[in-house]
Amino acid sequence: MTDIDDRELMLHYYGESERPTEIDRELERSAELRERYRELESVLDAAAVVAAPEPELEYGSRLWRKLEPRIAAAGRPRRDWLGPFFDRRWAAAAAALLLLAIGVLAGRFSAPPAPEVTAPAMTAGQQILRNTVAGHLQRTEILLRELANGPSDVELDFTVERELAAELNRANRLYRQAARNQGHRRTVALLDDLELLLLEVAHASDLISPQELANIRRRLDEGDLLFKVQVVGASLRRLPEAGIRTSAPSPTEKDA
Amino acid sequence: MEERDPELVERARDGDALAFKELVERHGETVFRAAVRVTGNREAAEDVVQEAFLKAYRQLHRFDRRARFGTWLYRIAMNCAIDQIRKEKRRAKSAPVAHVPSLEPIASASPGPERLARSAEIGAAVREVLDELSPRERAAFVLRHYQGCSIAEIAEILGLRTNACKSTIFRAVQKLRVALRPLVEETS
Repeated sequence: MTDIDDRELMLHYYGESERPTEIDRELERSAELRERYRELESVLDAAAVVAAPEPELEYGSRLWRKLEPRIAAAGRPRRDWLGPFFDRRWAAAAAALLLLAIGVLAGRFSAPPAPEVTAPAMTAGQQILRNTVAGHLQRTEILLRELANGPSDVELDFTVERELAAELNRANRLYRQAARNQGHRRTVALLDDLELLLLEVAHASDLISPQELANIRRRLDEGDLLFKVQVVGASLRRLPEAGIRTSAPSPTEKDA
Repeated sequence: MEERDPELVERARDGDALAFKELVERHGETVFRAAVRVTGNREAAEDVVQEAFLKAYRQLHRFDRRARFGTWLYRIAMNCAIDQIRKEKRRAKSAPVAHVPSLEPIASASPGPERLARSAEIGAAVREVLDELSPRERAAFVLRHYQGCSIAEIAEILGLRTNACKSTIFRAVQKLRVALRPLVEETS
């Protein structure tokens, strides 16, 4: 018996195996492996001879003639004033760190409220947190809806959902920390619940079985998460924009 | 072929339409070949190619000069193709239409009638399997099997981790094996 599975044989066929010499040696040694490889090879070779329509002669020039008016209508390309070497992922990370720092500072310096302020108003840090968390909940809601409404009787390609869940989970942790620093207990509780679900989705199989999906849906239903995300998201979006102040709110104003 | 791409991209960014024209002429055919395999028909592929170049032009400011223009363009084109397949699937669900085959088996130099019939069967089976794959599986398989892109490149194009990309291609290959094995075994 050999430990070389069919996935590795496929990679070997495409010249992408990480241990080609070892596989070659094993192919010489094992008749069973040779037979599996021969079968895989004959299928992939057969698929390779299926042709597709070729582009017409002078395809590029024809294509340009169709594109030119649309390009002209689009105008001159925009310039990226951030510069060519500015990596947007770093920008996102920097924004998240800034948000966290604002949260920490707001929490640390939330001295007793200024007595003259009576209307519900927010610090700049709170407003940023509110807008960011509202956006985060909107994105999460889209994922949760997909999980709740997709087909349930077949295996599904879950790659996109897994990656989105992993990305949302990373953001979720940062926002929860910032919300905790500002004392938003209801938001923290929701982000806590969401983390468990996002983790489960992020660690699901690439090809998810109906049973695995049913478990995720059960967690979604039991925690009433979609409903909570909608309610908290809507309440965050409803909070007034105006009235920003520079100090943090009193404990009674929190979790408005 | 790609040596001049950075210079052409730079000029196109500055509004030089002729530089962009050259990029279209250099990369148009390659993108078309991938698009026609992924979408499964010529008309859809033509739309995908045009859409991809138009998006690329509008987003030139986002192109990272350290990346390869060809890979970046593939990424845009594959996203357009995946959207196109999803749209087609939704349309087909609401109003099924007869499928017009676009992928045909290549005839050997002097094929006998039996061989021709078998090739046609294999072609039809491959087409059916490709239709059944998820858009992402289809794009990943086409890029690896027909376009000769490396798995690392495909992962970058489709925004996947390398391991997820390998699994995606493997799933496509497994489905192909199930469908083609009986036909291939009869031939051999």
